[in-house]
Amino acid sequence: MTSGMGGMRTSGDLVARMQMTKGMKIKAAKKFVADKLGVAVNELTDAAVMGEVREDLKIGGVYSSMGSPKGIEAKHHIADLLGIEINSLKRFRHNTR
Amino acid sequence: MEQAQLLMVAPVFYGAMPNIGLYTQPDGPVPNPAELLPQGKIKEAREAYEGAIEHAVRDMVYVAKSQCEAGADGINFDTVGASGDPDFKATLLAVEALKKQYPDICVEVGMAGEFVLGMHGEMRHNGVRLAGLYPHKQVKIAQDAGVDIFGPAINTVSSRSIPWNVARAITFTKACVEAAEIPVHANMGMGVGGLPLCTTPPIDTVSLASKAIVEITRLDGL
Repeated sequence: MTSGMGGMRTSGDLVARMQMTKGMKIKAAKKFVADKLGVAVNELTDAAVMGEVREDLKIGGVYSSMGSPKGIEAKHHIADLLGIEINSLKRFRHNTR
Repeated sequence: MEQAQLLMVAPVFYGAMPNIGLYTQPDGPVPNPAELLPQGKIKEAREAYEGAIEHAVRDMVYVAKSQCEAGADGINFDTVGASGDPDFKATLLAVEALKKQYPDICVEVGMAGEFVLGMHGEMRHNGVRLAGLYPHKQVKIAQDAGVDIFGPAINTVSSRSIPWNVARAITFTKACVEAAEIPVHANMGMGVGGLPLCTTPPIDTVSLASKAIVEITRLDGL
């Protein structure tokens, strides 16, 4: 569920999360995510730009590289970046207390 | 789900389809409306549907709660209304129950068709009769029940051309998007959303239909 836009190759998962958690329509969700990432809205679908942004912000990418956050680790950074609550993260924190 | 959530970055939903028929005889406890209706036993058939709804809601909430506890990012009730208005009613009740206990979980409802069949005929939700609703009215009932993302489904008419079907799907979806306050993710697949009824739809029809629906309806996802 990535709302298209190239999914995790670009920013589809982030835009999807804003629709899911805050009920944002796509235009507002894309603007919100672009502002949080510090990119222009039309750069959200640019795989080259987003690849670098995702690596810098440690929010996961299509290709996992050594030492880069994966899975739940990346979701931790996504939750902080977007200011949202992620259900699995909440449970992870509860179970690791 | 627990394992998937540890590994995945993209949101992972648990998806399932309401199945009212499972609760009717011989599979389930309530009398079978499909047998009662041809006998002219309308009242008994309606009572059977109402009984099946209770069982369905209980099971849908039970399963969805387990997935929420396992860490699911959301619950997707798909092909809602496949058995008509009782199916739609059961899902709306399940969504309300789920949102009471898990207000932050995302609930997506994807419909089965553009028109809710009146298998019961007089089933209402918040005073609105469910039978006969089209997507622009379906979305309003759904968002009032607490649905976070709505997926209209427009069935392909196999005796018509792809352009005809795409135009029809877009007409319904555009009205739905204009009426919705929540994100709209239209269903598009085999026999739905203007696409042909093939197991492997021709790529040109998929490209044409998805491009057209995105640009004309300005929906929030597919």
